Amino acid sequence: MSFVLTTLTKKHEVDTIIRDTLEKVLVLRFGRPTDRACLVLDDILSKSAWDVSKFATVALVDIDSEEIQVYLKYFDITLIPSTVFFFNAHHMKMDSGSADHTKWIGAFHKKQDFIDVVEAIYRGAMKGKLIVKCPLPPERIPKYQLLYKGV
Amino acid sequence: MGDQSQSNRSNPRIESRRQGSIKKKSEFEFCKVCNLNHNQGLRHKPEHASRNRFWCVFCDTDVDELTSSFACANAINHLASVNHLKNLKQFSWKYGGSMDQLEAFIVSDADVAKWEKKCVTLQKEPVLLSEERRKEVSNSGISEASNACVLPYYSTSSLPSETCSGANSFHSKDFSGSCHALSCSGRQWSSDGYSGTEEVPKDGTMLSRFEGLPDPSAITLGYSENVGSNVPSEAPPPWLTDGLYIHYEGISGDLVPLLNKSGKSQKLNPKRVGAAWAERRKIELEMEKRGEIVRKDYDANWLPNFGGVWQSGTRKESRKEFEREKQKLFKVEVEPEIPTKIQPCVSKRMKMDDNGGHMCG
Repeated sequence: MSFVLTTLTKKHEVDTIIRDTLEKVLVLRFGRPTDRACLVLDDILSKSAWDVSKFATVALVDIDSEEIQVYLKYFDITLIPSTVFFFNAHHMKMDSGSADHTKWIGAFHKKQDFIDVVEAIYRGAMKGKLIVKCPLPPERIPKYQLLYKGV
Repeated sequence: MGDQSQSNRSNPRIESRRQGSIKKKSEFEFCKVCNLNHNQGLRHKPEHASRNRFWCVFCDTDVDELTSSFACANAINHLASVNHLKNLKQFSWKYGGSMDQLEAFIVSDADVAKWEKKCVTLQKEPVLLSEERRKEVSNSGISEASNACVLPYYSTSSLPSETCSGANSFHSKDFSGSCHALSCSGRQWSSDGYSGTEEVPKDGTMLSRFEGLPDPSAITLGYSENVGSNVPSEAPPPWLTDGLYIHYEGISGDLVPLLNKSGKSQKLNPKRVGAAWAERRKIELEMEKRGEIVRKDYDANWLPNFGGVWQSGTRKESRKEFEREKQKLFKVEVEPEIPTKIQPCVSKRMKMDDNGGHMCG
């Protein structure tokens, strides 16, 4: 069963979903619908949304929107797709062995990988942890180069 | 002598063979009551209790009560049937027994009519019957037939003694080896439809085992506190009347339902991420739903808690730093550009040469 995911284009909408999603992991995908990697990720997210609906909410954020630019700067989003996780309006980090623990950059290999990641975040959040360890093996974690301020 | 010794020696073999054959014979037997093969021998006890039925040994049939509209209806109808009487006579002729005793195992038509009449009146009346009414029904129609109860594995009987060996087996048609029919002579079926379980009375009578749940019995209240104050009178429960009740009254009515609803969140780990935020937000949302507070648009500059990529320090600090940078950018954009006059660069040497030349002159 696939879901048609909500696409957010305004800051107010992003604020509202962050503030009103309680006791569930909020998954925000920052990207654009025309990007190839984003399409792959969106496919996995839409197929998994129902499976994780009891403990997670998934939404897409359009980075081309003007109002969203402040979030791109705030979240330091330089590569897409970037997925940021929240729990009770608190940002959740994940240590996946990559340079950036604040977000998931890239797509997932399969649906189950995404579900495992969300589950790990949920479990960590319920225990009071703001940073959790990635449950996936290194070969299934996308690799990227993170540059400091474009350098 | 030798022959005798040989015969003595052979006897054990014959006995063992007999025992073996007996053992083999008794290995698996068919129980008509349970309708299954078993090898438990005398240990097997047919299961009647859970199936709400009784076994009529004269007719060799199972009378099920699951479809009966009234308790024991099927059994009563069976005992009053012509077929049952016929089988009973045949049984009596086969295994001996006086014709006087036959009446103890049947239900007369008159009794059945009385019982049916009572059933009809009961159906018309309200569902809750007193025990007395139930007693009337059960006693009037079936007192005679109480003699006809049969039970599978109780061994006492008032039938001809030559047929009874005290065995408990039910699984053979050889009634000489077992006793099946039991007499409840003189004893009426209990009003509650259920009595006795494993007991075997000394006089050989059997208790009715028509399964039905025991009727609830009234109890007398052992306590006299707060007479008159109960749930229908909307009085507070006793555990709230000792001082705690006063505190209970002090809580504002608005928060009580919220607190009650937050019972669900109490099950969640209070140390989970954003617990305080979540509780506060839930209360706010609840109040907004009930219209107590107006949903206000929060500050457009609101930002969530975020731990930056290159941050050092707390998340609050990273947020403040971001806001400061944002304000700086804003100021730079707002301030108007002052036109600057471009002047050529004058070096120090040139300045000194000018001064020196002046001094030499």
